Parts: sequence; structure tokens; C-alpha cells
Amino acid sequence: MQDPHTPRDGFVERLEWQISSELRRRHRTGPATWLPASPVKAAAVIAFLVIVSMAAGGAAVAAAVQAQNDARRDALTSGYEQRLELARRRLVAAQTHMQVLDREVKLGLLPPDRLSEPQLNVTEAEQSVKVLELQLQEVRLSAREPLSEISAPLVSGRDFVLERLQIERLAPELALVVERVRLKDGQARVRVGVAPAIEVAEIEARISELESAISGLQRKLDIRRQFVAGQITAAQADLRVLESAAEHRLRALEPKIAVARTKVAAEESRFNVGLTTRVEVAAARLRLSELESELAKAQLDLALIRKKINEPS
Amino acid sequence: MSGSLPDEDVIRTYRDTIRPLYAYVSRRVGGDHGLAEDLVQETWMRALDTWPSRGVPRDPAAWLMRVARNTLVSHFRRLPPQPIDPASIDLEAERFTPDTPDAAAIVGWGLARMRRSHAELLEAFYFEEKSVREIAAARRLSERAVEGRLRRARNKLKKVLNRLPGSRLTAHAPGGSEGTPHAGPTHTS
Repeated sequence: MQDPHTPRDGFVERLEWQISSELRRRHRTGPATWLPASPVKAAAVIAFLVIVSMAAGGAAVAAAVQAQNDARRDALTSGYEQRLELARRRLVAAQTHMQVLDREVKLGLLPPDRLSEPQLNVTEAEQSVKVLELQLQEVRLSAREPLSEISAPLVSGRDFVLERLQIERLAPELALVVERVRLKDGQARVRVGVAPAIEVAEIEARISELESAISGLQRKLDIRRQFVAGQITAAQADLRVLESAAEHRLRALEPKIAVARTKVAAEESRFNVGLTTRVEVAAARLRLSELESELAKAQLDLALIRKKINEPS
Repeated sequence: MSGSLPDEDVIRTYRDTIRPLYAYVSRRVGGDHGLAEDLVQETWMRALDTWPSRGVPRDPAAWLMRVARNTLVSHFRRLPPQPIDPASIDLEAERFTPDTPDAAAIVGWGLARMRRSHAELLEAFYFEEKSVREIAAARRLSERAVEGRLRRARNKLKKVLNRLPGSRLTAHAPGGSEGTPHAGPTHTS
């Protein structure tokens, strides 16, 4: 059985390609210049202001506090600007890789379905950039880390939590479209006998997981809107999000268990005709047991959360 | 400031270190391929930001793993808390390893909120599957000292995890007879 901590070959190749592209870009344009915040300089300024304020009185103390807030905002902003820069570079690398493959598909060197995963990578990278842009805006307004809890307050009248949730739907929605195309293709392959039925079962399980994830995000959006409208308290909102996550885990597990049962049956049939070993059968049974155990835990989690929701406040 | 960084040095370093680096990150995220790939990629982007001005470090693997560790901590600090089932996180169990994405996420969430010295000890034990003997040899401590530190670190982790909904993890008193942490746990590969 392959070591689960071995990287996928596609990932290793893709990252090497991205690193090479980035190195070539630097040779052409020079390194991106930005000035990182200097914590030593900021500390020296704050120390000086504190000494002055002790001599001069209250107004200087207020100025020192303001300087400290500004220094904190600057440090946070700088950190998020760096992460945004990284995300933008990842997006450019993903888009360039996509363009290269697109050319090869147009030349007939690759089948069109090879574009699905790169397209998904581009969408995920775009999503990361948009989320980081929002986080940076929130940091600039609030001078603190962005809050992601459903019960987080608005920032200067703006609902960053809602905006981020709306962006987070993009990638799973595209992934769902891709999987539905794969399902049609898989069903056709099974019909003509060039693929086993389990291939379709796995795609169906993935579709079910994505539908559940999208539905979970929509539920979060609804809970957020209820909280902002004052219809539920912060504690109720947080618990309902946990409840939604637990329900999503349950829904995601059920098709996986169905696939695992099919695999166990397939391995047992193959063992009976001498096409596989006891080890493979045992591995399939173990995987099924693990999933069934996860299901039981997810059911317990959900019961615990619902108990807390129903407790009188 | 050094001149331009030879590409072949960087690519060679990448090829030499990608598998150990990936394994380091993957163990800490319970084998979640997508997440491990994102974090490894982020680590390498930071290397490309730093190495052109400072050159490839003398021990690039150690540098990358240090940065990967910081990236992991930042990731887990940003995660919202998830409910846990105490039976799935039995830190005292001989066979416990956080080798699923969910268990790794909970343990990682907790470790990101602990002092680094405690967190690194628990990482060596749970993620690197090092025995008490190996940890003692690496840190030049007695096995008894390592067992004591592990017990204290576990208790601190339980206190942190007890903030999560659904948790009922109990801390053991130091020096109690809980079945002393095994001198050589059965971490089998």
C-alpha cells in the first residue's frame, strides 16, 4: 500500500514547473520589492513616545496609544499584503499552466478533459486571491486579524464574513460541474464495459460531497443573515454552524460507506477466484470499518451539538 | 547582498527536499493531500522570496521544515474550532496517532495554541512517532525527564482541547498512576 505521506507525482511536477517559471520571471523583471515592516524601528518610536508622554502628560499618552495601534495595523497589513502577493503569483502560475495545456488540447495533443483539473486550480487560486483581498480590506479598517466566526461583528458597517462565504462557493460549484461531466463520461464507459461500476460510484460519492458542501455554505450564509438581522444570538449562530458542519460530515460519509461496501464485495469476489490476496481484502474491510466508525462519531457529535442548542439559555 | 541565485541550485534543492518536506507536512495534516500541497507550495513561495537575497541556506531541508512548521501553525490558528468526540482523541492510548485529517486538525489546532517547546515535544511523539528513548537521545535528557515533560505537555494539550464543544478530556495529575507513558511506544511503520 502506498505511503499516504508521499506526494502525488502531478503535484511534484507542477510545483517544480511553478518554481522554474517564477525563477525565470525574476531574471526577466527583477525581484518584487517591498519593504517589510521593521518591528525594531516601530518599538523604538513607541518607546520614545512613551518617555515623552510621561514628561508631558495625557495628550502624549493618547498619541502613544494611537502610534501603537497604527504600528499594529501596519504590521498586520504588511503580513496580509505578502500573503496576497503569494496568492497572486500562484494564480498567475495556474493560469499560465492552463494556457499551456489549452494550446496542447487545441493542437490535438491532449484530450479536452485534461483541462478540468487545471481550470479548477485556476478557480481555487482566484478564490484565494479574492478572500485575501477582503481580509486585507478588513485589516485596514479594523487594525486586527480578520474574524471568520459566523457571529463576528460588522466592520465599519460592512459584512466581511458574508462576502467571504459568497466567494467560497465558487470553487465547489465549478468542481460540481466538472464532476457531473465526468459522471456522464463514466456512465458511458461502464455501459460499453471499459470501466468498472465502482468508478461511477466514486464519482457519485464525490458529487454528493460537493452538493453537501455547497448546501453547507448556503446554510452558513442563511445563519449569518439571521444573526446580522438580530433574529438569533451569537451563541445560537455558532452552534447552528457546528450543527450544519456535523450534518455535512454525515451526508459526506454515507456515499463513501456505500463505495467502501462495494469495494469489499469486489475484493472478496476477486479473492474467491484467486485474483487478489487476503491483505487487499483485509485492507478494504478495514477502510469500511474506519468509515463506519467515523459515521458513529459524526452522529454522536451531532447529538451533542443538538443537545446544546436545545438547552435553555 | 548576494547576486542572482543559480536556477539549477534551487531546482536541485527542490528535488532533494520535496519528498521529506511533503512527508513532514502531510503527517501533521493527517494525510490530507490538498491541504499538504497548499502548505508545501506556500513554504516554497516563501523560500523564493528569501533565498535570492540570502542565498540557498546551508541546510535547506531544515530551513524549509522550520518555515513549513510556522506555516502550519498559522493555518491551524486561523481554523475555527470544531466539535470533538473525546473517544477519537485519546492522547494516552498506546496506539493513538492523529493520522486522519480530522484528528490531525484537532491536535494541530491545540498545538498551535501552546508554547512552542511543549508543542514540538508532542509533535515528535505523535507525528514523527519517535519513542521516548529517541527523544531523550536527541535532546540529551534522561528518559524519565522526557516522560515527565510529555505528561505535562499532554495535560496542557487536553486543557486547550477542552475549550472545544463536546470535549470531555480529563487531565491526569503529574506523577499519577495513569499507566506511565511507555518508554517505547508501539509506533509501527
